Amino acid sequence: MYAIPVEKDVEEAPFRALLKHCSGAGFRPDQLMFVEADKHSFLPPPPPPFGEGEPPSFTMPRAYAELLHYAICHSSAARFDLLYLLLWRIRQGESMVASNHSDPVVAELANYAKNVRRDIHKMHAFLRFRAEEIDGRMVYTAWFEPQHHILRAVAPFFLDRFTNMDWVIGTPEGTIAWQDKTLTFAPPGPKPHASKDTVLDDLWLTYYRTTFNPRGSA
Amino acid sequence: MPLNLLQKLEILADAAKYDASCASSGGAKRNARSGGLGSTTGCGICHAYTPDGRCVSLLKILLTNFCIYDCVYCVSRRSSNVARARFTVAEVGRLTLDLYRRNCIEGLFLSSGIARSEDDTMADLVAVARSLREEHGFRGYIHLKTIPGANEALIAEAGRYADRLSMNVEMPDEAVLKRLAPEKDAGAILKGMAVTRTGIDAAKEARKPAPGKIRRARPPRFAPAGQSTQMIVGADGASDITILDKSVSLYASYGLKRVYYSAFSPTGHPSAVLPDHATPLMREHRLYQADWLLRYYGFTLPDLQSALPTGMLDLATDPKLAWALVHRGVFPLDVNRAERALLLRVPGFGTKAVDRIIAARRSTCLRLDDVGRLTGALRRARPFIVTADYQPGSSLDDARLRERLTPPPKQLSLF
Repeated sequence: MYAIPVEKDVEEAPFRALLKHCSGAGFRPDQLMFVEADKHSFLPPPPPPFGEGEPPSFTMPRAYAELLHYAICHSSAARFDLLYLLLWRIRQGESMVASNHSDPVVAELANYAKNVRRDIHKMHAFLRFRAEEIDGRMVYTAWFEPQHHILRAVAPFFLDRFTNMDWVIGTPEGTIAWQDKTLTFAPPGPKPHASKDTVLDDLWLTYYRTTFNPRGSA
Repeated sequence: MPLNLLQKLEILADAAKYDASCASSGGAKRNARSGGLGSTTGCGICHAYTPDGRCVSLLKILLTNFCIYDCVYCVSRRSSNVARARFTVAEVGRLTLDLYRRNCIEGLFLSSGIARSEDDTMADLVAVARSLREEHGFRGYIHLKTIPGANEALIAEAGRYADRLSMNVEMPDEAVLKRLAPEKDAGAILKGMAVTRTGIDAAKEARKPAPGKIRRARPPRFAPAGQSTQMIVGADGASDITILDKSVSLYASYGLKRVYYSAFSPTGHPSAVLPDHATPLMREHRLYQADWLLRYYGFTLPDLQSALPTGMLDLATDPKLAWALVHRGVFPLDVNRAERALLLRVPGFGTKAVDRIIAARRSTCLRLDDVGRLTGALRRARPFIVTADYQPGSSLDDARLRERLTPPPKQLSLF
């Protein structure tokens, strides 16, 4: 049995390549364990030439690719093993299994995907920027603590919407910054002290307070 | 003493809160990659929730609550003694942009009291949208209320800047509207909705690429997220079936995206012709459920009517379960064989669950546990289905099935 280290916020393309290497080497799911790279494992990695050269080329069914897209961001340590297990079953001939949500493995992965989508949606919805003047420039800063590894997945939304602003989003897992029209992912920084922002602290709270209709809640 | 911006916001957001519409979904996708500020993703985002669970998606305000009309159900009516205020075009622009940059809102929902005249009011609403789009490059969502009786050219201009337009029919019954809102003209409301529909349809048609023609710049969009309307529920004696009947004809005649149902809430000023208590939000909720059954589940109005002897939706049971309890002869349905249209009638099965059942049964024969993984509401569905390993037996004939499937009654508040 071998341990395969994977970065916990691994990107989709390298992870798909890794799965294809495993499948090409003929490993059964019970011969492998995917371990998050920062966790120690007593199991050895697969011996060379594993992972060298191009992985075997085959197409993953669309339903599988859709599950994978979100499920790899989930915080559960089991996600990589389940994804490999499902791919292995597909390669064994269960070609339709990924669209059968009554299958316990698919149901579990679909549940992961759903939780990740919800987490992404929450970060899009509930993150708030505070405007701060730094070195004569207006910078919008935010702090958010998502439950899953979604930093890369949320970036396009903020990029599309706030292209003309400089902004920094901090999370316990990493930082995204958009400055001078350049996007950077950086390691996490300390949680910043929330600066005073009259629009958020006065205007928004006034609006929120007034828009609620307590008489309507019978 | 002139009011400051926060004071105006307090008055004009308060006056706008009776409009139930909050959607920021549908329509064109835009982003700010090539300049400007803001985006629309096609699906709305709720940026906050009020304590009673309503979503806060847009900055929902009135441009002014000065009004020459005297509609008894409206807090801003001429004879009401509320504080009055009026935003300038620049103030609304600044509020919208400031809140938008902090990711508090998806955009602006702007309505207004009828100050001076219908045309003046509509022109002011259009001026705000034009300023946001053209001076500030705003690409977020804009929902404008259109004013019944306003000039068609103004509505056409509104459609160029707004994502969604809406005009409220207010009451399902025209005679009641006449009585409660003497200055409002039901004919003008319907005509306004027809003008908007024509604008939407014409723009859609013009934007279709003509076959064999050289590609050229496409004509501008017109309210790409469509139009909607609102009915107040519980201010008059109209039954739920009357309301739904009106909705069905509105959807068909004006191509509406949504009919909003707004549970009546007293404005705080006693009235001889209006109820003195709020309509329960549950009634609003049941109306939306019935509305969904009509639009996405293949139900017809007579279907619903057959389960509503009093014409009112049951507050304790959802309308689909109510229908199933009256039509037990249709059940139990075999989830491994029944067609989609019938599966959609099973209580507890939403459209997603039905799609998943159909996809799953291509590769497996479904057992009860399997169905439990496909829907979150197996308890409700159980008496109505057959699976490879399960038959409901006599539970479908149980005279107390309704009691078993609905939450136990609660003691009403004594106060």
